Amino acid sequence: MYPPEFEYFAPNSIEEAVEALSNEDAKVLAGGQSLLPLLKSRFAAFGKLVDISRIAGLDYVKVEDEAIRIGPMATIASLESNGDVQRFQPLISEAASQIADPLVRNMGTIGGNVSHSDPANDMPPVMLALNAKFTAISKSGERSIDAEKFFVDSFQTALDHGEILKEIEVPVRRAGQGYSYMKLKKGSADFSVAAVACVLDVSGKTIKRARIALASVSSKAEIANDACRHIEGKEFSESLAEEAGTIAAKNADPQSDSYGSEEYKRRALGMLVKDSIIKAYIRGGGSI
Amino acid sequence: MKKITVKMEVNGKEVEREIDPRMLLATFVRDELKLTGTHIGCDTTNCGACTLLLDGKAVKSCTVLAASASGKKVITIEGISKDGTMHPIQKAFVEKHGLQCGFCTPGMIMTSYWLLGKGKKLSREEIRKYLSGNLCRCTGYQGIVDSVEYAAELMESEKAREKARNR
Amino acid sequence: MLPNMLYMGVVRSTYARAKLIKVSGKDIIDGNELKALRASVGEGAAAASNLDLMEPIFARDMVYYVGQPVAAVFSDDRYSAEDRIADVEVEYEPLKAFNTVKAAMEGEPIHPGTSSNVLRETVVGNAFDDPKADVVVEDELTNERIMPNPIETRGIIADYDGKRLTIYISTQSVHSIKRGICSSLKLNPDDVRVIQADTGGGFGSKGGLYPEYVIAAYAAMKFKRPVKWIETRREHLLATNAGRGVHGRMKLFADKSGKLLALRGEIAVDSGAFGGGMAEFTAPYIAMQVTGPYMIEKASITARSVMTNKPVQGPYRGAGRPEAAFMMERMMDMLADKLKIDPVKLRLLNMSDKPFKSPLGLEIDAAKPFFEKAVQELDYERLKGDKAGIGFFVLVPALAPGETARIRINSGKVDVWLGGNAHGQGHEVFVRKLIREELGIPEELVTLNKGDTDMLQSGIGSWGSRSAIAGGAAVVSAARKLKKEFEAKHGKFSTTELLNGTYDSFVFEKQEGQLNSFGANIATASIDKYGVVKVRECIAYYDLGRMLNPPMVRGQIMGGMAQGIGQTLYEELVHSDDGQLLTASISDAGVPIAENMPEFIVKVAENGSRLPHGAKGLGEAPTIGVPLALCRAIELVSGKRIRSTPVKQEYLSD
Repeated sequence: MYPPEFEYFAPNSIEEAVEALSNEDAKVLAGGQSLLPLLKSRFAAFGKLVDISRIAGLDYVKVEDEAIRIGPMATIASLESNGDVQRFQPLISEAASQIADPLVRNMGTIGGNVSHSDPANDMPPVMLALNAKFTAISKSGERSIDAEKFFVDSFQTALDHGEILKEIEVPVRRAGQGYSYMKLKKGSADFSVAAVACVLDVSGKTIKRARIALASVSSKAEIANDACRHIEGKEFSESLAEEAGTIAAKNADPQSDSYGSEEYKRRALGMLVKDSIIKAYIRGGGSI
Repeated sequence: MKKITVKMEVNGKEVEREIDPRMLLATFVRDELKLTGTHIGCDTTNCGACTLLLDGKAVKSCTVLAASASGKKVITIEGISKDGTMHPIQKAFVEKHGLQCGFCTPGMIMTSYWLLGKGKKLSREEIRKYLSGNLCRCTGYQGIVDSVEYAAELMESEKAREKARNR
Repeated sequence: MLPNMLYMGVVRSTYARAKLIKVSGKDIIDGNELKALRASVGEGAAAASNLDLMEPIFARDMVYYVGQPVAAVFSDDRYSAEDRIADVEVEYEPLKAFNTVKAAMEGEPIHPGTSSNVLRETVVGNAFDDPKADVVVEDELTNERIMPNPIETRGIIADYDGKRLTIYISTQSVHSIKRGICSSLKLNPDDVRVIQADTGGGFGSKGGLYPEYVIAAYAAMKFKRPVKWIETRREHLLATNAGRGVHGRMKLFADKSGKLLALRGEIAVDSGAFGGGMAEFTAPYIAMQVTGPYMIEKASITARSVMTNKPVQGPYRGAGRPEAAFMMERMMDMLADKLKIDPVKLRLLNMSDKPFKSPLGLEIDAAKPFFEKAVQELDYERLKGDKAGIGFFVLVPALAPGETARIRINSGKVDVWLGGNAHGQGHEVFVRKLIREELGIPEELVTLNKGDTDMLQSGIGSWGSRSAIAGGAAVVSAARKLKKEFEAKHGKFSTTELLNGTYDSFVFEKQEGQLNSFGANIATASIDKYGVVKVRECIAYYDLGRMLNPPMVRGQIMGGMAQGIGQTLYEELVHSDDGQLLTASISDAGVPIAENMPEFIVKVAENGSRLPHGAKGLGEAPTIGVPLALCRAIELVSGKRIRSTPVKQEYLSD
């Protein structure tokens, strides 16, 4: 399986990149771990690939002003092992270590993972749970997009044509903030049956704030709003976590496929949500 | 489609070729450079038979454009033996029966080469986790895990010998 | 790569069943031009009993499965060959497809002009009235289809010099490929040479002829250029012979002590869309083996091969053996549960101290002594507390009709060719060892060459757990023939003098009858609330007659055990209702990864066989035994009855 023909351009600056992307049929190539498989199976074709891997300085991780700023070309492997990420926003490393396999993580980038907006990708729910802000740049300048507005649909983000993801900003982990990323796989298969990113602000026994985001159970990654609202401001209990799971499972829209029936996916999602709330609560300092 | 020029260092040698921009790195090393030790097994970035090192990191060369590798350093399975002597990892795979049909072996060895290059001591469970992007259908993996463990020992003692020699 | 080579791409049906209205494209070859039939399906198998049901090389008038070749394109490189595939336009008129045995049994015939989708029906065993039994257990059991999935896919280069066709191919048998190509294209055998390329695993999938080989051969002759085709993984999953795909309904009669009185059953094999070879004989072959190591005086199985809108069924490591054992061992566990007796006790109770021939035709040695030993070797008493499952079986290797070997001595070097071609088993190791033992020749002087029909006049192939037994016996026989020849000429045998001479010895060492051996597995497992199974312990105890090379034996068994776990837990081919394949990557098809495999333990008995070198069959034992033990372990841990493989995570989750 080989890609269809395309023109190739590897700009040296982000300005050159956005210029090239104004071409009607151009597509950004980052680490290629999602895009190239798509091209190889000929599920997609583009007139021009703009390879941004040669633009210097897009793979940074910086911690400043209570935020972590991540360049789109930071590899998944680097986020898995980066000391600052592990310390200041460990949810990202926890999720990174569960993406595909070590070889794919060596090449795959966070920018690619979020921009591809595959409903089964792992970074979109993480970004949602962390309330990430995405900086997009185009010929007409820069704009900031909230994570909740970024993931529009299957394989579709809020990035306009000619726009490119320049930076991802996530707040650093606050005191009392617990997190967890849990992913259910089917045997040796590479996508998930369901996955849950959970961030809780815990004070004493109370869950003050909850952000629970889901992958693989809808046409895009999304926040389980009703489940979050159900537990916010309440005292933690296992049954509360279970109720949240039930709510999230009811609202989700999974499809039956070779990974399982719709019914199983809902059931698994409910259990995952419950388990991830418990894990995040404990990590946030809560006591059972 | 307009051809492009790529230049890279492969196994220590500079190479330059005019290629179709869509050419995958795996095709480039196999067809252009005739380094056929890099194999293609699955087409979907799962099996890892095409694993090689790109700027020091193990990657699946069926999912990298040769164009993107331009200007970088590539090491393939052909590049790890020295003066006709097998690399300790290769010796370990032979001795510990880390292969049967041999098709996945170049990828297994290149992942191990990257992994053991980190110099970290690894448990069998960790080795298995690191090999999760490399499929083998013959061995059930046990011989491969044995081989990687043994290769780590061989490399350790080789290092120790070198140290003693330099003293 | 050969100079001036063409790369072939295959345009495949996108429908499971449809009228083929029109194929249009530039410079294509399709069924209007090449009207040949696929001469055989599977390991050098016989032709179909009904020629009308043979698979055409290219679909004509109708397509019968997603992935069926419709046309072929050719180009100077593999990238543009794929572009050309996309340029070919095919018009279809979709028809209702029948993708399961059940649908095919109930639905209209998939082939026009036939009266049913039953390709073949046989009753195996003896006729009897249902006995008066204290207990009867009856159930339905299934092994879903799975793919062989060697990491190297299939591939071929066909090269024609104006007179002779030379084929380079990844295969388990150059002889089977040659027979197939000659028969499909009606070529004179002298005009075809088949040479084995390095072969990266086969597991059954590379034993026989496929349409792509015939197309490549035809195109090489037509274009007078070498033609290369390498299968993509997707093509493998879509169109290569799938294995398993067997359903059974079994009824087991016993008295209250657990003594088996009779077995009655039905087996239906999902044959895929066409006849020919494997698909036709799998069903009665499975039926013959069902009673396994047990003494049952009355047994009768109705065996059906049923055509569906899927690629033809073919051999996958085990090829009927795992299915037969699965049927019997699942029933034995159910009976043990019903009688509330220990499953091991029940099994031993029904074994004999003497050889036994089952009413289905299976010949076994005295089973009881081996399995009593197995219970100890597998540490059953200890592992029972961990809800261990056990499985007992008989391995029926494909010993007949024998195998060929050639030993040539020239300039102090020994060259060997075997009728079956190695693809990862390390045949060279036993060949060297046996020649050293027979002729005293140092192993480093002996080379086992890859398959080449010009160097060995005939041969069978490497499959069915037969290489070390049938191939090994042929090597011994060829060596002894050499020795006799030497002694006739020179008197007393001398290795040194033998090596100084020039000798060439070919044998076809004929084998008849069965050479069955016993095996047993044990496994323990844990299951979480999501239904994810972790295999804890996985131990094998097999009778190998005599181990010709212990490390390779261990390696091959462990690899087979991983495949056994794969079949039990992960591997499947899932189709949508309209026949589209949903599991279209090697990972979705469930090939196991290192992380999910346990540390295997392999134990061996060496009760020598009647063959001159004492070996017994090996290759398929673990794919038979592991699913038996693991299914039972899962059943005990989950409390849920296991009736089919793969055991779905979904089924086991809370």
